[in-house]
Amino acid sequence: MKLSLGKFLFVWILFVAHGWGAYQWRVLEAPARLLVGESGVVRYECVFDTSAADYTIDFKPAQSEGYNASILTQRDQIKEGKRVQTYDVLITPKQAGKIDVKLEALLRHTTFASIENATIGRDNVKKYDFDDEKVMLPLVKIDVNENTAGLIGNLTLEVRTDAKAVRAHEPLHLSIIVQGSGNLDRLIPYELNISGVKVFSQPPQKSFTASKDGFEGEVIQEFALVSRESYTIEPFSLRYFDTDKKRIVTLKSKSLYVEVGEGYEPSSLLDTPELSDWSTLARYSLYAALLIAGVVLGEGARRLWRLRPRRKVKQFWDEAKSPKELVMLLSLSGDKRYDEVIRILESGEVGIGDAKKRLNILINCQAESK
Amino acid sequence: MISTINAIRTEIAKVVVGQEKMIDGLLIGLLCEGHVLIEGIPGLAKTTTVKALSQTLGLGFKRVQFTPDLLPSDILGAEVYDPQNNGFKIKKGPIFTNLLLADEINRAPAKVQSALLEVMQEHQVTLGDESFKLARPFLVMATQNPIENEGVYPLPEAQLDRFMLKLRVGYNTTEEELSIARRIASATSEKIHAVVDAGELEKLKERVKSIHIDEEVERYMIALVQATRNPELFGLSEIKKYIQFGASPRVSIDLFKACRAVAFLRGKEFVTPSDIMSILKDIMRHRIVLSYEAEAENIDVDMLIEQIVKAVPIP
Repeated sequence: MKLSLGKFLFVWILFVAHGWGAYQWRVLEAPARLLVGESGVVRYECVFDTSAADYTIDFKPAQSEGYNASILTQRDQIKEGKRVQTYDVLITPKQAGKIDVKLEALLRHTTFASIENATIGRDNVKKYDFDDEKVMLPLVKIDVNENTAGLIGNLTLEVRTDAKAVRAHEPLHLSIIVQGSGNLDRLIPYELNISGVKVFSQPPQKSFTASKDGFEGEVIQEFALVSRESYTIEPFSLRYFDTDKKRIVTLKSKSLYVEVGEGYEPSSLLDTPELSDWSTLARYSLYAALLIAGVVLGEGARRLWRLRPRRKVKQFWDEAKSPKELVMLLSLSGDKRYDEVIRILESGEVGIGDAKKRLNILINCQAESK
Repeated sequence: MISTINAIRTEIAKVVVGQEKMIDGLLIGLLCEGHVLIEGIPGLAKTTTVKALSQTLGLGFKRVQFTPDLLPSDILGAEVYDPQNNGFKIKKGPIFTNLLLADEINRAPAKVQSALLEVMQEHQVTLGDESFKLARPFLVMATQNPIENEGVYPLPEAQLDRFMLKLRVGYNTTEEELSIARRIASATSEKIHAVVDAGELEKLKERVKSIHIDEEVERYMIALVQATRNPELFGLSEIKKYIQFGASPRVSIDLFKACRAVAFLRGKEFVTPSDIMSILKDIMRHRIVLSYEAEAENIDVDMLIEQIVKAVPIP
């Protein structure tokens, strides 16, 4: 009995120490067969014994030679008081044969010490916040068959043009649209070469999101075609493995004949005013009349401005009432410009009125020369 | 005769643009043997003009930059020991010249100013126990900068009186300044030639002395000077409080001399009142001592002179 108790305690200590029994991983669903390039969902579930608030799962599916793995969805639920975490992992085989999907997850358990450090607010402790444990997820075996089509899924092909007939040098816009679900990321862009046609192409616009079939959405490829002569666009084809029909399907667009007419004459690209039209004539006449009126008004304003009564700037010599006074004021100014006027005033050649006029002319001439 | 004056003006105009009033003032000083004080802010070609004038005259020219550490002996000269002859010999200073440019005279202390101004009056220097007469003509042209107050020693009124003219130099006109800038930027200043010698200068002075002054004009000049002393006699009672000391008799003397020179420069044979008025401010402005009231009311000497001229009847 003592021996059994000891064994029991030993097993229990190991069990607790390693977290055994704290969580359990299992596979809820998985595809048994897939084709190369076909995506299938493997659903993993991790059930914890309790709400397991102190556990986090760091799950990043590793890639392998045989397949690509990526998480499609992730759910965290509480069921019957237990924490349940579910992962839908998208598996896309890369080669035919039997593949073993062996994925690892990292379970991180928050330690008591880290909780205590965080609670007390210690800032000088080493950061050992988790006890990490690598867990090998349950093995999934998948039979992978060959797929000669490359593409797989449920796809449609559509080819659109904005016109059936264009003029020379006028571009025709062509769009190739591949829609649906499947491995759209593997779609090889179309190349378009038509003799005598200048082809301008853009990189494909990929607008798809991950889905259980791989990807879902569309890929649009656009071209602009310019030619001087009519031409035919050969059909575009899309070969893929149809997952609904379980066989390879080839979609083909219709051949398109594009009629190219004569190009525009340079003169025909300009809008010619229809002068014969009364409203157009009236409008142009109005413009001309406004222009002439503006010029006439401007000239009138300019002449009026020149004829405006100018306020006379008062000069210091205005107060002089006799030639002697004027001589005195001019002499006191000490300005040599007035020497000649002083001379003719003193000699009696001019009177005070003439002298003032001469002074005004002298000042105005100098002001204008500036 | 006037052609000689015009030749001097032409030579000066090679390096100085405009500033005709200053040039005329310097010529008046030269013809009347009166010293000239030029006042103006820096950069108005004061020094350049004086140098140019000296070059046109072919006379001796020396320039002294007045500084606070200047000594009287730096200007007048001194006795220096001669070890070869075991005695003292006279070393003459820059004062021994015809034209002396005292640049920034108000930067030197009073003892230096006093030494210079004494020589200006006496025309004689005594070094040791020997006296030396200065060469004729002897003319001091001093410059001073009115905008600085720190580190300057303003000339006392008694010493200012020894300057015949105090010229105020103003800014050039726009056209003149444009011409200056172009000339300096292209570095095309011409060389000045001496166009007058000492003999010709003496003749010019004699010619100036011969300019006639009518007695009425003479009395007008005296009346102007007296109006600065007793303005109330000329109906200017309101300006009496602004004048502490009126113009000295030296002003009358200088006015008599200067107005002859003005008339001569204008090509006239006689003096008219306009000649007096044109030089009156330059002669009087540093010789009328204003009262505290004038300073307090921001009254300028030039304003008072204008009032006096307007009040005194013109002959």
